[in-house]
Amino acid sequence: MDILDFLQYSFILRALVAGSFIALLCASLGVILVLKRLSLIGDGLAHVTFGSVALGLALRVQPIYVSMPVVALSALAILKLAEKARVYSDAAIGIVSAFGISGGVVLASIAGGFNVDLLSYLFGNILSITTGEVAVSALLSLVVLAVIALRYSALLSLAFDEEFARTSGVRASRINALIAVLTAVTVVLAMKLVGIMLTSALLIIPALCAFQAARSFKGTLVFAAATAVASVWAGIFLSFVLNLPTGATIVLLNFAFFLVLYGIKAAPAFLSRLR
Amino acid sequence: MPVDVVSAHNLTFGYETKPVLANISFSIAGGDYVGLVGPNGSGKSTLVRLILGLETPAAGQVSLFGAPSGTFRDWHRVGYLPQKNAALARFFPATVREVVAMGLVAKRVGGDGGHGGRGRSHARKAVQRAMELVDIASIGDKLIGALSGGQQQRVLLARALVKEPELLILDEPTIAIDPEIRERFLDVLSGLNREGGTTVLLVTHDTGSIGKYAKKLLYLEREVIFYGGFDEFCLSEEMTKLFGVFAQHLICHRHE
Repeated sequence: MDILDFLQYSFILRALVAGSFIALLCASLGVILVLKRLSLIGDGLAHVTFGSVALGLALRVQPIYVSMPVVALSALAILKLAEKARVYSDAAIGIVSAFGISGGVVLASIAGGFNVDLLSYLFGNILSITTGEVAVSALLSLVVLAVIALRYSALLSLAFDEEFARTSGVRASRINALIAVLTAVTVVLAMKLVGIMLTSALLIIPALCAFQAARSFKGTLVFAAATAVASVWAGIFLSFVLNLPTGATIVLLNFAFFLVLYGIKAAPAFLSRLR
Repeated sequence: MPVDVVSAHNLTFGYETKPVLANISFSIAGGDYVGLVGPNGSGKSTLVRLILGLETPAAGQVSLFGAPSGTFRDWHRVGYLPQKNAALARFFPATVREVVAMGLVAKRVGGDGGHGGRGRSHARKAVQRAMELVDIASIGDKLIGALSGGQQQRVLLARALVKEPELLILDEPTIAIDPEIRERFLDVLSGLNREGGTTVLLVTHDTGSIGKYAKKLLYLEREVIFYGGFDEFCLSEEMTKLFGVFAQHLICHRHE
């Protein structure tokens, strides 16, 4: 099968379009999260997403309509815990994450146990995405990307040196809250692509790939986006041809890109040690 | 009547049960160059954080250009060089040019005769000017993590200067910098104060240099021990008696 045959299937096209938007979003936000040392917030919010999906399924409501507000509120709760309860950020993520997972398990048990629906949210199912879901993913991704573009300077300044940013008039607490909400939206959207279990990988790994080749911050964002989109396209293609789980294939390819880029960067020093 | 650039009135601050500053009152007029000195733990950096609105005083008030620092909004008038954080820049994927440009994030940026021009062209020129002022224009496209400590300090100084502030606050700017670069650094500040009228508040342990550049001395040890011109300090026998070697060190270098 070649690429043109592959593109004839409408479900593949839908997956590529939605996957590309979500990949762009994860890569852009992921760079900022990693630099702010919030790499694990994606994982924490993904666990909350599990709980909110279980709640949605139990209430027989489309999970995305429950997940968006619940995960956004959880993201803000993580911020508040870190600020007011004098808890380190990683511990705040841990508390909220644990609440989300355990809440989801209890709800699933009350509703009659784990079923196929819940499992598909755990591991993603981009090849089953509907046209409506593509439209929602694209629209929300464009909104988030526009916000990132509009607040680019403040986000960069905050990620580099929060204290200095505050003395430049950046409203740090508002921008941090904005980042939390954008992350929540991104995590919920990414659930369809790679699943709850692997969402944080799509936030972190493209950023780490970009850092290996970084020549500027703008270049880092572009490189992270390119790596993420390439992983999605190659992952969808390979998973279809080889009958593999799509979400996991995308993440494994992303990881392979990281290994190659790290290898290229580390090779000169390694070779000079051998001589 | 001209408004003081910085003024503090009965400023008090502490962490839980530990008092740090008690009843601090002083004012800095436009064009002043004030050296803020004192032993370790005397509250110098805390005072700077209170002036910049990064901490809230337990009592009293501190103002910037007549406005309480907690509600101050004209950040384009203030440049800040924080105490160097060794871990700050090592892995951050930004070029020198991008870091300096962060200083333009303040909502309104003056320049070009005070008409406040914005736009990419103005920003690029401002960044270039700031880099040339501290002699880092040739490394504008290098990643900040690849620079030496001294070079990084100059980048952060350019970041503070890029918006051509009226007030420049620097917290221990010459730590871990070679003596030759330190002199050039302080010469730049002195030039900005003398020729540009920039008000400077410099926190330093470098008692050897401060006497040559600053016009006034603010000596802090939980409270204001002394605030005034260097000549007044030199004439103050009580200061010399109380602070012996430290005060003598300041006086000796002032008169070199």
